[in-house]
Amino acid sequence: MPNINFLKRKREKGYDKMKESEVEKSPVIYIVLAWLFVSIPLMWGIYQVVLRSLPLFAGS
Amino acid sequence: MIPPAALAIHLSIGQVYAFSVFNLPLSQIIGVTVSAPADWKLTTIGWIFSIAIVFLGLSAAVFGKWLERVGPRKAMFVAALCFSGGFFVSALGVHLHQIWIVYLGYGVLGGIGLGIGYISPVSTLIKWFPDRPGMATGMAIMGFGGGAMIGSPLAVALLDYFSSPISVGVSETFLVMGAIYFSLLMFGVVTVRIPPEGWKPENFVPSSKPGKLITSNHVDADTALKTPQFWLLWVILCVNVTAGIGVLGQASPMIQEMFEGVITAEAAAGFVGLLSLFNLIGRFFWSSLSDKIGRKTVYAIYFGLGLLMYALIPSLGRLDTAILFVIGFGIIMSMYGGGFATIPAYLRDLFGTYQVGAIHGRLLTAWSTAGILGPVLVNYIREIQINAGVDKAEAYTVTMYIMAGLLLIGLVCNYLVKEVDAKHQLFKEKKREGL
Repeated sequence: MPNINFLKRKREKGYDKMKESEVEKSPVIYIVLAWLFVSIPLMWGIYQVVLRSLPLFAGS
Repeated sequence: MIPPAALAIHLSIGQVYAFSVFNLPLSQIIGVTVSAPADWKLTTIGWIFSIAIVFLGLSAAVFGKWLERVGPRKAMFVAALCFSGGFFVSALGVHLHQIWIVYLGYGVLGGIGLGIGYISPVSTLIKWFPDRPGMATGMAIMGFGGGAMIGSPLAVALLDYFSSPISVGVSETFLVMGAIYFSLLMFGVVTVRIPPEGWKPENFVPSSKPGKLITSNHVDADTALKTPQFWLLWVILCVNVTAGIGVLGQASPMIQEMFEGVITAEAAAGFVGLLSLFNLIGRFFWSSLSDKIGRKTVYAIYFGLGLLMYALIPSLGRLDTAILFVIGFGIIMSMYGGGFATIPAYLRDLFGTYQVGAIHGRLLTAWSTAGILGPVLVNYIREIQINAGVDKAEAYTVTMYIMAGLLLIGLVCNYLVKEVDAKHQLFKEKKREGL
């Protein structure tokens, strides 16, 4: 169940400027999804690089 | 949520390092399988990347203060519009076969997106992680290094998909990439937030005895330009990037010529990819380490160890195996990336957090300068050597020693960095009044 207050605040004007009392931890599921969103393409890119570098070691 | 937001921005704009993937297809738009006389020359196409990098530096310097005023969300949104818009405009330019439209699109518009996007998340991360600013900015700037790792295979896959006997598929690839990067950038836009004034993480107690170079006050962007510290850091960034970018651009021919008959063109391409990986890891590793051992110490390592490695490269190039050569260059590239990633935290230590994004933006002009200096130094010195009858494999020796000399300048500049004079500092009360 998503945190309703969290979603509601997201829609408020000027959300990127928070007040002291508004600082609270984001729901864990959001954090996990956010990290997955950026790390999947990054890992795919790293895998491609490692794959392409194999001939270097074969040549050596 | 803030680190992935920042990473999303940098992973997207880091695509610029992979732009060379388009060089060949852009030179065959009319001829499709071979370059026709009416096709663009590679030298003409090379300007697209150069214009983008120049506009990166200019826009970071010009829009830094605006970013501090409007906040990271609006700035990131503008960066998203400009960067992805650059792809769309370039797609039109390719479709109409008008190079000036591509210059205007990816070069100018995309370059502005790069500059604003690069500095947008940095000051926000420093404010969220006052306890580990090096690690936080390293994480984001690591994304810029990783951007090419995604951008390059993505572009290759899309070009394969869209190419046909009558088209190289660049225009369609630009459209799809623009849409993909806009989505990734918008994830950063909707997720980013800045903390309230004076926010501290749980259980974080600022040290009562902060390091000598770590200020608890602030210096505004205009005043920072009048301090010797800013210009010392400018030179530090410039020489570190000049040395790194110079050899990065020549990495493929260098390893093939130094290990002739051992390293094939395919293996050399793998070497370049591996250097990008070291560059990426270095951005996170060294900047995180700087939180523990201090910014000045970590830059002393970059320059001291870097100097030693550059001086050793010609000897490593004479060995039968390329493994030590690859490791040596990997360490150099990790410190090249580390230099980029640690600089925002160094700025924060010296000038405070008030306008650190704007100061960082102005410092990035050192990057634009190095982007021209590095390749020019390496290419011209090599050419002079070869014309003088020096063997191709040996032609890089002088270049390496010159790069080591550049790092010596950086080492001296780093040694000269002292705390900012109190007369330049805005005290906290004045800062709150909006001064």
